[in-house]
Amino acid sequence: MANLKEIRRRIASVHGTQKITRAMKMVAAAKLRKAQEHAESFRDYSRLMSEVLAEVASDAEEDAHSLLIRREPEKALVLVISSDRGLCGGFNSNLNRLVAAELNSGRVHTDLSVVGRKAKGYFEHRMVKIQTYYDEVFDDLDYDKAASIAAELAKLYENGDYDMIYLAYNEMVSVVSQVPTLVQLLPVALPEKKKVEAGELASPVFIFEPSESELLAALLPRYVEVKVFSALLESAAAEHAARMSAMETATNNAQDMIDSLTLVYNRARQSAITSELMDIVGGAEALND
Amino acid sequence: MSDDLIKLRVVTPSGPVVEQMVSSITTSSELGEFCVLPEHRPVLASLKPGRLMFEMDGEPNVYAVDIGFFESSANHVNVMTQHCVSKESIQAEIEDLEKELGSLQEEFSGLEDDSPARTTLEAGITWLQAQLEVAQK
Repeated sequence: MANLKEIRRRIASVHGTQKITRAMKMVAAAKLRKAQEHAESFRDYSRLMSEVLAEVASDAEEDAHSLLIRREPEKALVLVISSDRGLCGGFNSNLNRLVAAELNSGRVHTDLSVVGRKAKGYFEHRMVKIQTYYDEVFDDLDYDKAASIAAELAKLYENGDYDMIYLAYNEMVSVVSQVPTLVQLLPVALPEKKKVEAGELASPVFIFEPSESELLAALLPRYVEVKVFSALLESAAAEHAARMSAMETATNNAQDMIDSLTLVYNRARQSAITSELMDIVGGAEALND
Repeated sequence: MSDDLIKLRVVTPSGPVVEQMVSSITTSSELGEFCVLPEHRPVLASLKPGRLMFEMDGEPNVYAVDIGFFESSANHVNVMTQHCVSKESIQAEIEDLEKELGSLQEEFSGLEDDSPARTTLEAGITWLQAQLEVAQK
């Protein structure tokens, strides 16, 4: 039986760890709320942008703009959006595995650009070349950062360096479920125009200022920015949600460990008392004899 | 009478900035300044950085907007722009803005012709200039 002092030390150490995981859970919960508010306030802008683009592009030809033209895919680029910090369960590893599977499928030659330290470490370790690493995106995430990433990606596409550009990020399905997804960014897949339901007025005929094609040329780069920023916001919220549930599990596991160690401790203490009593009783009886 | 008013919403990536009923809106598109009154025909315009003015009860409200889009239909106007600031708050920090503009211009003149940072800086400079112009009018 382990000695009492040793067990007491272990219980104290697990207690210490539990305090840390509980605090991390609370911090993640607060950050999640903030990230969700951030995503919520962006939703209006992104919804309006999609609606306007759908309106302008409703009868545009596929080759109306260089960001719309489809090419036979020979080279593809994936922008992997991971996190800067760990301790968030399978958040980064699931995403990295999805991207690695895509790389190994060998359908087309695929390069990577990376946001977040975690994916950078993973792919560098596996000797995968990283085209561009965007540093410190999540410290103080704002629209301008997304805009400059989007502008770079759009340029790569327009120059013909890549025929397809994808985003790989964790989608937040709910607080307890984050799903790694791979979506096409370029060429731009035009949003569907809202269906006119029975009883509603048909959508009005707009005066376009300047012309429809010039508007389209102004809208498309903005739309790519919106897509990149949405993915970044979504990933940031998903990261905090993942960390929250990972830390919740860790706190519960620590509690289970403390409970079972306490049981062992009590048993050891009881047996020490019993053996001490036996000694006393034995001693007393020896004197009586 | 709500029939004679327009519901204006100005939305930026960090959330809605203006949400109110107004009687007229004036702003500048690529083709020049235009004004929208109630019952205007639906318009979809691309905005250039500059002034956005709307009137309510004869009181004008002036804002500076960055590049963006203007959509109006059935007395609803949506303005999507990257930044939108009221004239008062620009005037409150006009010195900081002037300083920022100076340092951006300096940085810009030091850049190589094909530097990728060029477009971002250029956009920043135009936006600052638009704000200062609105404040001085």
